[in-house]
Amino acid sequence: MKNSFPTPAEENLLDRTTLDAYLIDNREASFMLRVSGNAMQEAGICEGDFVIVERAVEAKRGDIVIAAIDGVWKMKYFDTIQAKTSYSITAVVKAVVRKYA
Amino acid sequence: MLKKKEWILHIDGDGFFAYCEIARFPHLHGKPVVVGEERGIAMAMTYEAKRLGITRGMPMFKIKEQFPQVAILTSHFELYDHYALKLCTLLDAEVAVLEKYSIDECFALVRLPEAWSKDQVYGWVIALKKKIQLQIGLTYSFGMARTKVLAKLASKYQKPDGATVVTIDDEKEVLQKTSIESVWGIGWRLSRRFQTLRVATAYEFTQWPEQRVMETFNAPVQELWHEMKGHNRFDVSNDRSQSKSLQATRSFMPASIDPSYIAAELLHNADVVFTRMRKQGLFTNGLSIYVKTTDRKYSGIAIPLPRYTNNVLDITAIVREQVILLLRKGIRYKATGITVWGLRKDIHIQEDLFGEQKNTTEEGRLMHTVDAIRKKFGQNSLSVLSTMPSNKDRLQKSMLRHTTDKYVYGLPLPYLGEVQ
Repeated sequence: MKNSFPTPAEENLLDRTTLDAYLIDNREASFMLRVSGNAMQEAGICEGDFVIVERAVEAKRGDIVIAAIDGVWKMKYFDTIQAKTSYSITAVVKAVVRKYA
Repeated sequence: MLKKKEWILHIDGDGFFAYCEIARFPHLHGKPVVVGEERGIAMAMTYEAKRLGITRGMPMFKIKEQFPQVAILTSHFELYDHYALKLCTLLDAEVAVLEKYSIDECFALVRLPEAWSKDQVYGWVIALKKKIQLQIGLTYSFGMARTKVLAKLASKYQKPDGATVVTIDDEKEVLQKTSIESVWGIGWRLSRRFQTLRVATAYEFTQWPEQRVMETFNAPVQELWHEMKGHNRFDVSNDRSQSKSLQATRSFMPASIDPSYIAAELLHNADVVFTRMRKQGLFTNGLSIYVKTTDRKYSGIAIPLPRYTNNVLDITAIVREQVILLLRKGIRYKATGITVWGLRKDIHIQEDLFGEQKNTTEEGRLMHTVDAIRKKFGQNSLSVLSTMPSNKDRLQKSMLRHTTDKYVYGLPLPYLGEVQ
């Protein structure tokens, strides 16, 4: 039988009226960067994408984070950066935006 | 109900434009950096550059010559606006009244329990400061005291990245360590006057009896005296009419190589800014203009004015002359902009200029009439003659295009550059 009421998941989506509201949690702590290179391809983040990052959140294992390494912004999985370096993490990647065509 | 005590908090961005810029360039963190290439003078600098002896207003050619190691960047006001908005939004949630004083400065009225010790008040300030800096990624200096003038002295007390709470008991020490010319609102003319009166520190001035202050100075300085004595004379107000600078920029399509068209564009921007100034009762004594080429190179110049004015007719000739000097033959330009600096309400100007102000009543009346006509018939009903070619073109275009350049940025998040 066809349900005429939206499911809770759909309802959530309907609440999100703008892309901003969907992509950004804490606007004041959020910033944008453009991706250069394909180092995070395995995470589905490609050259030319925009990432939206948030400062002031604690990174969890498995999060993608950005840090300034040798004067350049780098993206890494949280556990690898933690294991190999002592660089301080600037922000956590919260969203990726890609435009085709 | 807990009894509350009112405090005034002043928050000042440390080298604000410079740190907004280098947020995008990790390789410049910790390096001497100066912003303002397009204006030909240093508008802001990192503390590393300050330590080299670079000051605001220093000409860029001098900096390039004397400090080749300094990175020189162009300014991006939209970016600073994004950061300023972040600060205001975060602060608004924490304070009773917020006044955005300029792009990198705020005053706030704060109500804290009266029973709190200085340490508790300081703890509150530090917690707020940490919260803000962690989210925005820039450092600010915080100062808290009984009045606006004292709060401003407090935020200056330790800079950068400082936090100072000045209680009634601390005021004497802070005022003793403050030279009179570094008090907010004391310009060079007034500081010369204090010199002849043998007043060196802010504290010495506060020791004057009220009668003497009244006899020697006009209202604005009397108010400063009261504020330094801890009597509130300046309210924290959220009407945003007290900005230190105003600007107008506009790009045009197609780009142009025609000096008279470009000059007209710039004068249109000047007209916009001066109309806003008159609305807010502000006067300027200096402005900067810039032009932007199609490949996004800026050139600009700062123009000090001989006297305070809010009449656009006073500056059209000099702006026209200067912008034409900036243009290079055959280069295509796509935007112009103007910033007016050192804005003051007329009451302050009368004090500082001691009658040197030219009598502008007649021209003032003309601009008053212009404003009235525009109010009635719309902003485009009257133009300064030299902006005419630009306006005609605008009108035709506005029918085709409904968006303005302001909204090109979409998601209003500061751009941090590239990530690998």
